Amino acid sequence: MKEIMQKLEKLSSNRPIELVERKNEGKKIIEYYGDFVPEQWIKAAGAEPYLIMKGGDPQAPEATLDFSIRFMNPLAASMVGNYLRGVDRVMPMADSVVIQQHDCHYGRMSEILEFKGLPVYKVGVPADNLVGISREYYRHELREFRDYLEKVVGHPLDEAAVREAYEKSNKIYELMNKISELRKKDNPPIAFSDFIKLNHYVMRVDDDVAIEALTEIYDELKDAPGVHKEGAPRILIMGRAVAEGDYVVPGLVESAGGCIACDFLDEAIVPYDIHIDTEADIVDAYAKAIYDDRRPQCIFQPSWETRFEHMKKMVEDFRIDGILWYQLAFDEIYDMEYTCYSKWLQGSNLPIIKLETSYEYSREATAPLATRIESFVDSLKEGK
Amino acid sequence: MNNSAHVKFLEMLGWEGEELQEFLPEWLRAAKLLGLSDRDVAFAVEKWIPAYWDLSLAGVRKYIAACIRGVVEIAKGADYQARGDKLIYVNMPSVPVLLGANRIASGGHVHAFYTSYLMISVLTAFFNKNSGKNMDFDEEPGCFRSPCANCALNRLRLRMCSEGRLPRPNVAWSWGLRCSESPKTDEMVGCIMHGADVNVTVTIPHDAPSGVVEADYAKKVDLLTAEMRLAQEKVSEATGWPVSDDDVRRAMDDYLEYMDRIQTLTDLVMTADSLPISGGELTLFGLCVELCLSIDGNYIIDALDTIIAEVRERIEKGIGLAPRNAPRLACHFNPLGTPWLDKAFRDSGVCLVQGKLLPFADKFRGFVAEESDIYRALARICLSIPSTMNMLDEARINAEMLTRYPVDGALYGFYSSDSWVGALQKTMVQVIEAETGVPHFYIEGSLWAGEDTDYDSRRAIVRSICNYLKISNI
Amino acid sequence: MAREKVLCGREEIIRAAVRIVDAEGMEALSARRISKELGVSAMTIYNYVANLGEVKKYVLSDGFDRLYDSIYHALNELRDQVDKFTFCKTIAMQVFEFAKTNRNIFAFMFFEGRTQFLDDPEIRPFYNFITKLTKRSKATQKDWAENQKAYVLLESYVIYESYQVCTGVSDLSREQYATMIDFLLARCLG
Repeated sequence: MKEIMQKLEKLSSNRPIELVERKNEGKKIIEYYGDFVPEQWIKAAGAEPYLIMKGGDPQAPEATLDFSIRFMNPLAASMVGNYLRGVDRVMPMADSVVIQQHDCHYGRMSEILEFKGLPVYKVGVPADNLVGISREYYRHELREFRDYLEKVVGHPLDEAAVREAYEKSNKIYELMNKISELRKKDNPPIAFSDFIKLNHYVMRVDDDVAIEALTEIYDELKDAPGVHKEGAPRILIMGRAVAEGDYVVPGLVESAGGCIACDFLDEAIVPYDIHIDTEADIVDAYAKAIYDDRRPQCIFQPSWETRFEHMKKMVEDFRIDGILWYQLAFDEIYDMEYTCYSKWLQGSNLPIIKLETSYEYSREATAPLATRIESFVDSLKEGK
Repeated sequence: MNNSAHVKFLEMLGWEGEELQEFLPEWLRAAKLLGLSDRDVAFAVEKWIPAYWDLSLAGVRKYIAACIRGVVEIAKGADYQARGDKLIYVNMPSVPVLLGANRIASGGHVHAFYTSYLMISVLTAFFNKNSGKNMDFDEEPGCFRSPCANCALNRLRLRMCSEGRLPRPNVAWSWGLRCSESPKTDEMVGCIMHGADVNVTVTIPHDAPSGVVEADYAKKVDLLTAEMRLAQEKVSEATGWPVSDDDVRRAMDDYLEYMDRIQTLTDLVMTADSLPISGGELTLFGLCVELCLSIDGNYIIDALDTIIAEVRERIEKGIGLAPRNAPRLACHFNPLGTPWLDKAFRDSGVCLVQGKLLPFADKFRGFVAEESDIYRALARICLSIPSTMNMLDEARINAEMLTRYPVDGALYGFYSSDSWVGALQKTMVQVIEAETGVPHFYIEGSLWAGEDTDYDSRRAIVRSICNYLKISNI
Repeated sequence: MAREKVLCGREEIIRAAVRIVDAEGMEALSARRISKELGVSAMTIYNYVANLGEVKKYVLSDGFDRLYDSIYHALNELRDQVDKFTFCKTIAMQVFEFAKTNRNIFAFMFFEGRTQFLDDPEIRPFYNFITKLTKRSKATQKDWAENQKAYVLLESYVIYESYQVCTGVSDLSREQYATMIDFLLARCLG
């Protein structure tokens, strides 16, 4: 697995260079954010997608302070900050930057990119996803996106190619899910810090490469021994996202002897719990899979009680000892959700800890963080 | 309880004799709801209100009195429910036409209250309460924690609910036309406290391309129209009172009657040689652009007619708050919550103007005339109120106002903790300044942080702005 | 153990920081130095300010406050006699005087501080002030477009020369400076 991961890492980190070559060949580059933007359509259109998901660097949000306020979640702010600092090598050459508009942090950050003259396209995602008019609106948004995409690439979208892309995505989701399910073992054969990186690599590389790699990894892991210490407390990590590059906290948990056995994250992760219908209308299929039927995002209205039930099921299925609520700084909606969960869990024997991050991981900042994590893991061990 | 301060308070606002005696118990109940002590009221009477509000103007007294009546109505919520009436709580500022329509349709048996918005406005403007040091939330689950810089309106609402100070409404009507936090607060109340019987949400994604005029952007208007119709259906289901399009039209007429007066007042004040009333007072009169007081509308119309007459008189006589050539600074945060800031500028020789005064009556009437569907007209009105739309559209609207009413400068800020309204003001000021040539200034801070917390670090910037403008006037 | 003094607010920190920079320059400013000045612990300072950068910004804004105040009062005294020449010269002389009597603050305002805070929306309006003020002032508004380059040149010269004087690189006297300003204005404003 190590070799495969190294290969994937190299391909993933070389993706921007690859995109330069593709651009020179005449391909359109479409940088995008979020699952509500159908990446499969971008591929089917013959364009090159590149997902915005870089986090973990406090300087990126800082770079936005001349344009915006401090109280924006650092992942959304990083989307802009990385462009302003020149870290995002793709955005300056992208033919389009497609961003889902699901909450006001991303809404405002998208506007900064528009202000800077970038070719931003917005896909609206209404928060009240249970309501018929919102579902119809999202489908309308997808149709409009299709028209836009066709203009960018200069030819109609080949629906057969879309269905093929859906099939490949389904395969990726299936394989990722199978690997995730291996974490139900007493001693999971893959650590979360590798699992999340695997997600990030898969979202960068070619589908066929991803499928091949995932197949090999699954074959290797299904009979592999566990990688955690015996009796490591099993933790569910929950929150908006563990972004690309934001690997300090998972590493600290594992160093402290904890096992992050499963994840409930909304963004910057493969949506491996869905399956897209490859026979139905392509718009309807995507909308159904990602908007109508999927477990709701935190921002959806209402969503928390449903998400809590979903979380409880994961706790049961994965035999979780404790929950790590991983929250981005100033992310008020997730903060509110945590408040609900901590109240609902009062009196239960399921501990929950909230760790807030502004991506500041200097030595001074990390030391108290590590101490908190160690105490949490130790308390879980004692509780077992 | 020593009522003398409360009596003085009501007398100050125009109550007297039998009317005062009848109203006093109701006000005392409202004061308790607001968490006001006798000392707080005495402070307001003796120090705060005289310092920041010109009570020599009958219009100002009447409008403050109208706000107090509005809070008294909120405090009577339980009584209304006991007699079978229905309560709707609205959280965020929003165009109150549909709320008015519910009142009309039910013959006054549905009461719509902007609980936190009105209460926090009254507390900050007239009592210097609920700001900064006074907002002390602890770590207990069920409370917001300050690191997220949650909106004070939502924090107050949560506190009210957790303390059980307000009766549970039949409907909590969330308007998520700006930030995401407000509708989710309703969900939170429902999840961990006794929320409303029914939560109704009107929300639309912020997906208009920057620069698009959202009031004319068909897909947004269509979506908001549909959302509002659906929301009203749900509200009617919960209250048992159907609301017809005619009811909405009548409510719209009332609203436009108010907006006509706002436009007249704005035109008078903004074109007068010497500013006849303060920035805070301007904002006060503009409060009902996005709020309803749920009182007899004649109180508001009378207050406005009175102030318009008084302003005309002051203009005729050349009476103003500042010398003729005192620079004017158009400000777009809500100085109602920061009257001390308005005064700080005035003491340095600069007048804050504009506030929530929006001369849009003609535009809104135009929408009503153009649209056969009254909800569609309402949607276009909602999408014309600054800060509901994309930054460049908002910049355009604000630039138009600067052209309509020439000022010496414009001031933004004090929404540093709001992830929608305040998020892009730093960028927007550059856009508007480039377009209009009007110098734009920005001050970090939060409307709700209070004088002591924010002003002491911004004193130098406030003075610099004032000197800059005064130099420009030479 | 002695109870630590309680600060009343950020104003005390700002005043202390301004005193330190006035006397010793920005390089002397640190949380420790401020805390020593106020008789509190360094951690107490951070209860009121996020970081040292924030304090520097307050010092900067205090500098602009004083500079603008002196400009306004000087112009206000001349009020009825102000034409474009007196307007520009008064500002130029006030900047020079400010730079001479507030050397450390001025040096920070127009060198390191400018680099750090020019794009800060709270501070940005106060830079390039001669160009901006001449655009708005009644004395210079009428023919501003024709004289715009002159005002830009004037600003460059005023800031440059004042900076040289405040850092001790130049020992130009007030009279010599005034002569240069007169020459520049006569040539450029016609």
